[in-house]
Amino acid sequence: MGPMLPGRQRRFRSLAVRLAPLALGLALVLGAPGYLPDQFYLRVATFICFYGVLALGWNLIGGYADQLSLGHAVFFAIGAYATALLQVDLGLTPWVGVVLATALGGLSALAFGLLTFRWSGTYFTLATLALLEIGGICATYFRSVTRGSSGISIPILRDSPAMMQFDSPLPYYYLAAAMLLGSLLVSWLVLTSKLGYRLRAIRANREAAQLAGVNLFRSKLAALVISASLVAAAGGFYAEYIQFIDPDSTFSLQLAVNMALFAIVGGVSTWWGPALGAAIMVPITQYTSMQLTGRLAPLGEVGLGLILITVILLRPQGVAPALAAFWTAVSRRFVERSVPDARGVG
Amino acid sequence: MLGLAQAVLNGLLIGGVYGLITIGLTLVFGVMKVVNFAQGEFLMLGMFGAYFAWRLFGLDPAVSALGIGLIVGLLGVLVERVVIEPIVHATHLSQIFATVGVSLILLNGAAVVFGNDYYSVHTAYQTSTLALGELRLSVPNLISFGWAVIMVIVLQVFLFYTDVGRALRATAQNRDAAILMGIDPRRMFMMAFGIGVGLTAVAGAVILPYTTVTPQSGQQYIVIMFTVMVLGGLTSIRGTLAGGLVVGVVQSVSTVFLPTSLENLVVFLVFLAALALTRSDRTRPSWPMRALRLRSRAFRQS
Repeated sequence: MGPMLPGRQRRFRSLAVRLAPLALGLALVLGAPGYLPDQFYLRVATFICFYGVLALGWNLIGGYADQLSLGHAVFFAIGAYATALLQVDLGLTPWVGVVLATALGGLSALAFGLLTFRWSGTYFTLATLALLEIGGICATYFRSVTRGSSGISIPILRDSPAMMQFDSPLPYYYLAAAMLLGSLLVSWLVLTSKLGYRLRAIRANREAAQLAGVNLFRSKLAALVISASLVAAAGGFYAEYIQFIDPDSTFSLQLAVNMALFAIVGGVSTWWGPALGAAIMVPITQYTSMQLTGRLAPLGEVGLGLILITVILLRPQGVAPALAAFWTAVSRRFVERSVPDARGVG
Repeated sequence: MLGLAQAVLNGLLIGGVYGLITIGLTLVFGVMKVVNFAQGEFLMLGMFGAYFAWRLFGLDPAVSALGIGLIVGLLGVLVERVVIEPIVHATHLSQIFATVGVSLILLNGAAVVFGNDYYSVHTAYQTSTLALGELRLSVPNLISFGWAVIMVIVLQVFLFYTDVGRALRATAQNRDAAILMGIDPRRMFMMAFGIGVGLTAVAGAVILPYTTVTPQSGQQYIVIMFTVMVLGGLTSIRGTLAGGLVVGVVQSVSTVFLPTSLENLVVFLVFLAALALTRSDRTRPSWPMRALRLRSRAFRQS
């Protein structure tokens, strides 16, 4: 191999190589309405963004902090119900409602974490399950507040952007895409911040992290609050997009498991893996739910279970690390390609 | 007062069965240190097995229970070989979500095969009751409680008086030491998982006469199972039984004061409370168990 490129050129190329996937991702997300053939695909893309937010949110506590929550849907439901009730009972515009719902989600997570984080990981998982069940029972029982199992229907107002209701699916997509990009940013920020550093230390070796001065409790709590806030915001969006919520669809174990599943398939240790997981799995689930109807419908979930087990047994780190390694390998030659030189100086 | 006494009695009977359902979970966790999130689905399979034994062969569930338990236990061994064994030493995430994956497959597989209908058996004694003074004992409940007692005794004998049982307990207490003693942990895992899910399936069979089965049935019981397990101290069989009784009584008594739809709410709140009062030392039982002087070193007799 001949001499390498001068340092400045190498650094420039290296930066370009790191930014290229970002630019590509941004173009894919923002330009979707351009290349997607029709409204149906746009709807699927909206769901990809929506589930991406959920998976990224779950990953903040599940992947970064290794506190596996099987009941994260409870924060989603809190967000959805808060937004819906604020609009239906108080006439509050969802633009404000979603913000309030996000805050409420974060607060509930704070309360829950204060209670449960003194315990070890398995207890936390069981506690999230219990919380999900408790939430579902309460939502069904306290009919006067939550309309019980009949659910809440957001009244359909034609074309009123002030109330987050649009005539076409396009603004919904951009809203979801904005949430996805925001969640990606949050995910990246948390990972590269001091909090992320501490969480990684905890994951690597709890005792050593403690000895180094990391406050386990506060770090995990912070991760949980941010995670729940993201998920609650997605819940608010869901309420406005689907325009109907009830205890079964929101306090849903299936949703809680799917959030984690998408994150695991995508890649739990990366900041963008869960979004990739959603991008891979959502079209699959949409396709199977279309093809398998009636009695065969649960086969889709069987497939999800098989995929989950396969990923866990064969590639527990998910797809993202392999993809990242592939890109690094491919672009290495571009970055380090040497300039042919007779002198052979490296 | 009478209503309360009746509720406590019912609670004890049902609680015994809760204990039996959960013992399988405790066994798996004790030996393999894996929380089996699919345990509820094996319960559901046991219930369906008993249903079809009744439908096709006219067998009373109390009679077919052991056979069903054996079949489901063998299925459990298969699942253990394929899915569980590779992740015994893996991360928490892998362990939890591998069993969640099994749960998804079993639950939805059953939904495809059996549909979403509710199935129930009809036995001669289904509605009969025995009188105990002014209290009534439901016969199906009594039979299932009796089964629970028998299975627990059998399990205790197995664990304490047979070589295999001692090997299982050794693996639970200290896996490395057990290996040094010449015990093959992989065989122990297979046994523990097979027996664990088999026991739960037996419980499923015996509770069928007084409840219905649908693919979702497992999910209805799983959080109760976890509650019982945590209350019992996670690794003790007697603790699990006691935990089952506590949960059964709490659930039953709460229906006296609260509407039935909230009965599980009380159980889950008790669960969170029990977690709150349990120390981070996993093998130490919660205060109710300590108050009742039940020890909880892995399977050790006091």
